Formats: sequence, structure tokens, C-alpha cells
Amino acid sequence: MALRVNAALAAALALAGLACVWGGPEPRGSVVPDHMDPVVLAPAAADADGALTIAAVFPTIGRYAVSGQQSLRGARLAVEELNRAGGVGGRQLRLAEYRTGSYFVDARHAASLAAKDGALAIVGANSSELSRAIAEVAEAAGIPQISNVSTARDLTWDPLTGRDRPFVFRMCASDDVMGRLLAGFARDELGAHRTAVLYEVGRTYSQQLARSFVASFADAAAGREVAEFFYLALETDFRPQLRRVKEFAPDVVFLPGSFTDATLVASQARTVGLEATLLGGDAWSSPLLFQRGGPPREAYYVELCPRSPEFEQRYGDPAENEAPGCRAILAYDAVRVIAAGLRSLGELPKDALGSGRDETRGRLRQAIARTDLAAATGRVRFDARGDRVQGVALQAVEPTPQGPRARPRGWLGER
Amino acid sequence: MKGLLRSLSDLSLRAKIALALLIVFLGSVGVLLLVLVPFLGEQRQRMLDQDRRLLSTLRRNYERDFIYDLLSRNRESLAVHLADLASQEGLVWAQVEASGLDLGASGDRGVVTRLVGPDADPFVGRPGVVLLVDRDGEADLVGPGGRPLLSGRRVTREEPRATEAGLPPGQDEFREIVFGGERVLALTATLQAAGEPYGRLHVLKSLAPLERSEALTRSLLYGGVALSFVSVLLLLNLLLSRIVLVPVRRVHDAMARAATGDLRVRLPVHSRDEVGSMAESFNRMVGELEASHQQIEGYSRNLESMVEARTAELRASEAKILASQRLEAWKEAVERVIHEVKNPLTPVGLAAETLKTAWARDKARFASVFPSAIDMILGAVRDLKELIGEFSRFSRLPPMRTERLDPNALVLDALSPYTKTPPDRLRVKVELAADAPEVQADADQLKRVLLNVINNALEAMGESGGSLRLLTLREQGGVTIRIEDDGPGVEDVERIFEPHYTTKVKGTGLGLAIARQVVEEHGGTIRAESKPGHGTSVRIHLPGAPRPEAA
Repeated sequence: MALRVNAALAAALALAGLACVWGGPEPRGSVVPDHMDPVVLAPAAADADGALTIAAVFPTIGRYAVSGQQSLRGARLAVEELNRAGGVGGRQLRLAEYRTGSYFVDARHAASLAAKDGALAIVGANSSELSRAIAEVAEAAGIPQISNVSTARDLTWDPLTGRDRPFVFRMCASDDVMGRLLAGFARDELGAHRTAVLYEVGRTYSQQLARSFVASFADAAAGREVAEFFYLALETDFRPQLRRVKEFAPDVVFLPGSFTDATLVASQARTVGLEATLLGGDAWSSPLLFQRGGPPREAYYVELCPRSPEFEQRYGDPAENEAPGCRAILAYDAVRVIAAGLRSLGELPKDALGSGRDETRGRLRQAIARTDLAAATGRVRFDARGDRVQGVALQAVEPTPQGPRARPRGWLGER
Repeated sequence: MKGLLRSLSDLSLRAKIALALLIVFLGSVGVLLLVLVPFLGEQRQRMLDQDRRLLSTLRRNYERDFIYDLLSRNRESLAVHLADLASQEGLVWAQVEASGLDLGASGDRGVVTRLVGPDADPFVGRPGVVLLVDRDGEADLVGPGGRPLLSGRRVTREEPRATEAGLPPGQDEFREIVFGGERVLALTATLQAAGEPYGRLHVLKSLAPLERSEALTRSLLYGGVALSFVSVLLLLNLLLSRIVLVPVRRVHDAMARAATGDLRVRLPVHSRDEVGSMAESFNRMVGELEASHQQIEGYSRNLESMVEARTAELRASEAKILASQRLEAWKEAVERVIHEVKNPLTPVGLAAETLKTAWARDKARFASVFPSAIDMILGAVRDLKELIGEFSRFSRLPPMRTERLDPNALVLDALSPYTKTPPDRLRVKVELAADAPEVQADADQLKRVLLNVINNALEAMGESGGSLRLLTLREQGGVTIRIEDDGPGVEDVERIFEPHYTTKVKGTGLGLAIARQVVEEHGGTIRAESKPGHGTSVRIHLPGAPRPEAA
């Protein structure tokens, strides 16, 4: 009997234990985002019907989406205007819009699609990262590519081989040019002797701009010193660097980063008591610059294009956070450059868009290289590399009781 | 309470051990629970801390992205970053709030399905699929890399409640809240750079995995502890049974054997514990018992032999007494014989004298006296013969050949001559006791005793007849046979068993004497009661036969 009691107890406890063990279903498998799949919204492969197809490859998804949209609108505006004016050589222009994600693979895939779909030229993109990805494809496929605002110097030549990319052009000055011009401004206009350069390590734009600035500015014989400071991507607290910058006691602090970096630096510079003049590149171009409060004295940066109130009026007043800056107008001018190139080819042979397409692309490339056009942003010419022979527009940001306000303050370099 | 204690004490030793173990078990489980419950609480805290650390890490990892997105008011970039964050395993909601930009994201199947409905079914649960929801409830379902899947949906966004007090800078605030009907751990943090606030971040992680894990741990812990306890207890029970119960059972069995008289039983002593000493005590006790038992047996045997010797002596003296009595009787008998023989001889002599005289003197007279003289002589001779026969029977009582007899059968057998052809005017009444015990007796001799007594009775009643009553009664472990008549009775009733006593005209007077002798030799008694005019009652008591040996 006693044994039976124990056995029953054991059984009951064992059952209770088992009942507890069966808790519930296993959690579902982990979610791993798959970024390998390129994000491209390609246009329907419509019969061009004799139209001259220009591909626009811009991101409309992801972090570069806003400026991508602006660029696309600029290109679209140009095509609309050109077609309204009768097209090119009696043919309509067709803008094949490849809307991509903000990753370079998206742009590369879009460029491949554009090449396959028969585009004669590619406009894009608005970020050096994406533009370089397009450039690889364009160069390989023999399609002329014009980027609107990509300043990376190794866009128009291959950084691996050092060879030029004959098919790749840009509508703006490169980092090299910009750095040189800014150094000249600091030296000649601001009379700076000591400049601190605070740049982002690992970001090509920032590094290259810093390099060319330093190369042009530093001159021990002339008493010009440069101290370099750096930060990593997505730094939000610059105070440690700024304290050391202050120790260097510079006249000018060059910030070849984005307007967001500049905004944070300006805000934090005040807290460490740094009062040197701030100087930036085209990446400062944003109405949101210094939104947290500007520096106590005038700061300077550059735009890649002159302002064009006339264009801005045509572009419209989209309810967007960000003013189009130079992206839309340079995309607009890029299309104009391509159109001019096509027009210069004269009457196209019958198979120019079919079996002779590659030849047409080649001829177009030659025509673009020879461009000398009075466009919305001024005269357009390209140097041997395909970089536009162009200076930059200097902007001054002055503190006002209503907050910092930017205004044009002349022109640096070629016009 | 007392009843309970009593019924507890009635339990077998085994049940008591089991009960004690059960109590130990329950006690240990109780103590263990006291230990385990805080442990589980600690475990939950640990897991919560882990979740908190994870959320804090995620906050740190994404904070800069978010700050940059907010600085540049780049909703698209914020969407990418939020989608990336919301795709992290276990997160149900991520949200960034700032002036001018407020975006929430969820990769959680439940949340997406609840907000979007069945349209989301083809996409929901796939890797990297995230629902982005604006402050005004405009929602886009996007795939990996921000690829739009469903756009421009209107949904009702549930807001994770922010604390009223606001957040101390630099600190993540954690709360357990209910979001969309699910319990979640909510991190609310101020996105800040160099101590300046830029916006607010909410990250909600489901508590379901924690609770599942907790439940699993709890059940494993409880189940494992219970199982191991039960097995340990079963083992203990088994062990205790072997250590305690088996020796006790052995002692118990040995005692039972000893109780039924087997005093040779001994217990092996294996241990020096209580049971061992109990076994020793038992052995000693049984040993002493056996010794005293043997002593008693010795005494008993001694006594028996003494009794036997005495009995033999008694028998011998009794025999001697009997012999002397018999000698006495014999003398009496001889005198009686002589007397009896002498008596008939006188008329024989007289008759012979008369015949001789008549023959000599008067032949005619001879003829007239002859018949009567001859009758007399012959009668005397007959009497003498009878006398001698009786005497010889008395003197030569055969040795008893006893057997187990039914006294009732004996009575009926003895009565058979009268019941078959009952004499005139004689009424015979028989009352036999059904429970009359058997007697150890010589059937022939007892039958003769009964016949003698019956004949006496019949003779006493004489020609006029009467009623004869025979009864058997169970008395004093034996049987009493009563023979009653309603004859005239005898005056000196005690003397009727003496050898020479007779009230009859004829007869030797030895019949009842022989009867008494026979009855006494059977270890019984014979008595007579009589009142003149009221008949005579003879009571023969015979002891019951000893219990037959079990066959």
C-alpha cells in the first residue's frame, strides 16, 4: 500500500512536471533583412517609337531619396521643356526613370537595366556613392553618364587603374577643385594663417576635400599652418575634438563634412568657447544648416551652382523639407547637355537606336566632351577628364536675431 | 486529532516510513520553493536586464543615425534606419519623435497585421518587411532596402505612452507596458548629442520570449526538482525498507513462529543497531524460554513417570485390594456355595431317604412318593447346576475387551429381547440422549450388566407386570444409563450389589455383584435408589471415551 501511495505521488509529480515543461510554441525565426536584392523600380520597357531615350537613375527610396527626387524633377523638367519645344532633331526625348534604393547595388543594377533597355545616355546620380556604381556600368557598356552633383574626384577616372573614364561626366566641380578654391579663399580673403581641418575619416568626400584643402593651404614658408582633426561616421559629440581644436587656436576651422556635422559642430563649438570662422564645402548646402543655432560670426560655404531664381520659379514650389539646391538645376542642365549633344549629331541613321545604338552612344560621348553650352547654371564645358570646368558659388551665413541666414557672396574660380 | 493520531499509529511501518518521507518531501519542496521563487524572480530580472541592455545597445547603435536623420529632416533616411531597427528580432515597435518628424515602424507580424489587415498577409513575416507609420497614420509597408510593398494606407497608430515627467538626459527609461494587447518592454530615450536633446526614441520589445523562457525554466526547474526529489525519495524508501523493514519483518516473523511454539527459531544478527540488539534480545529471550520450556518438560516428564509409578503402585494395591476383596467374596461365595449346596442336599437326602424307606417298606407307597421325591431331587440338582454355573461365571470374569461404543446402541441391544416380543403387561419406555458420548467399554460385559439389571427389575415387578423405563443422559463428560421400574421397591437398596444379597426367591444373588464389578472395572459407578412401593431406579454412570486421536 505504502509503495502504491509513493508511486501515485511520483506519477502525479511527474505529470505536473511535464505539464509545466510544455510551455508553448518556439519563438519564430529571427528576421534578417536581405539587402542583397537590389531595389530598382524600372520603367516599363515601352516601344520608344523613335524617341531618344535618356535614362535617369536616382534614388527615391532610402537616405538619398529626397535629393534623388529633386534631381529627378529637374531632369524631368528639362525633358518636358525640350519636348515642348519640338524635341531634338524632330524626335521626342523620353526620360526613362529608374527609381532606386539608396545603396550602390541598387544604382548599379539600375544602370545595367538602362544599358539593356537601350538608353542613349544616363543622368545620375546625386550621390558619389551611387554615381560611381553607375560609372562602372556606363564605362563598361559605353553609355555616356552625366552626374549632376557628385563631386568625388575618382568618379571620372577609375581609382583602380588610374585611367580616365571617357564616358563619365559631371556637371559640377570636383572635390579637388573645391578644396583648392576654398583654401585660396581662406588664405586670400580671410587672411587665415592657422586652419584646423576637422573631417570625417572613412568618408571619401570629406577626406578628399580635406586633402586638397590642406595641400593648397599649408605653407610653412608663408607661415600657414594646418592641424588635422578627425571624427568617425555619425559622430554626434564633437566636443573632445573641438577642445583640441581650440588649443590649436585657429583662425579658421574647415569642416568638409555635411551640414548635419556642421550644425552639431557649430552648436558644440559655442559650449567649448571656440570662436574661429567656420568654413565648409558644398555639403553644407541646406536650409537646415545651423538649425540649432549658428556660430557667433559669419561662416562660409560654397554651392556647386549659381542661384537661378528663374529656374526656381519653373521648378515650382514643392512642399518639401529641403530646397532643391543645385541638384535639380544641375540635373536639368545635364539633360540639356545630352540634348545638345544629340542635336549636334544631326540626322541619325535609321538603325541609330537599334543595331547602331552603340555607335550612337559613342558619337554622343564625343559630342558631350566637346560641349560648350550656355546653360541655366552658366557656361558648360568639360575638361579632358569629363569634369565641368566650373568654380563654386561662395555663400556667407551670418547670424541674425531670427537665426542664421545664408546669402551669396561672390564666386570662386571659373565661371 | 486524537483519532487521526490513532489511525496514524495504526498504519504499517512501511506506510509510516512513506508518510514520513512524504512529509520530508513536502517540507523540502516548500523550502525549495522559498529558494526557487526568488531565484526565478532573479532570473526574470536577469533576463529583463538582458533585454534592457539589448534595447540600450540598439538605442546607442541607432541614436546617431536618428540624430542625423532628424538634423537633415530626412524622412527617407529615418525610414531606412527605423526599418532596420524595427527588423531586429523581438521588437514590436520603434518610433522616433521630434518636431517636424515623427515616424514609427514595426516588423512585428501581429502589429502589422492588426494595423494593415489582410492586405499585408502576402508580405508580413518575411525578412525585412516593415510597416512605417507617420504621426497622422499614413502607413507604408516596405520590404528590404525600403522597397515599397503597400503605400499610403491609413491606420490608427497606437502611441507608446511617454512619461509625463519627461526624461532625465542620458538615461534610458524602461517600462513594462501593454502595446497592441501585448506586454512589452518599452525603452524611451532622449536622442541626444553632446547633452543636447534632438528627439525621442521609443523601442518596444515583446516580453513573450522572456515569458516563454521563464515558463520553460520554471517548468524545467520545478519538474526537475520534483522528479529528482521523487526518485531520491523512492530510493530512500527502498533503502529504508531494506535497512529497517526487512530486519523488522524478520523479527516479526520469528516472533510469530515463537508465538506458535517454535522456540528453536533464532534471528541472524547483522547489525549493531536497534534492530540488531532487538534480534539479540529476541534470541536471548527465546533461548531462555526454550531452556525453561525444556526444564518444564523435564519436570513434566519426571512428574509423569512419578504419576505413572504411583498409579502403578495404586493399581497394584488396588489389584491387591481387589484380589483380597475377591478372595473375601470368594470365601463368602464358597460359604454361600457350601450353604447353597448344603441346602438342596437336605431335601435330596430326605427324598432319597423317603424313597429308600418306601421301597423297603411299602412298594405301593413308593410309587406314590416317587414322582415328588424325584422332582425334588431333580429340582435340587437343577438348582445346584445353576449355582455352580453362576459361580463359575463369577469366578471366571473374562478380561475386558474394550472398544468405543455408543451407549444408546448398547441399551437398545440389551432391550432387544423385550422389545421384539414384549412380555404381557410390560410397558417399555426408552429415552435416549442424542448427545450421549461414546464410552470405552466391553460390549458383552456391559450388555450382561444391563440384562442383569433389567432382569432384576422385571423380576421385581413380578407377574403383575408394570412399566420399565430406560434413559441415557449425558452427565459429567460421560453417560448415565437409568433403568427404572415401578415395582414394589427394595428396603435395603444399598445392599443389592453385595454378592450374596438377594430378595428373590430364586437366583444366586451374584448378578448385581457381578454388574457392579464390571461397571467399576469400566471406571464407572452403579447406584440404586428405591423407596418401597415406588419402584427402583438403577443408575449406571460410565465415563466418556477419551477423545480419539486425530486420524
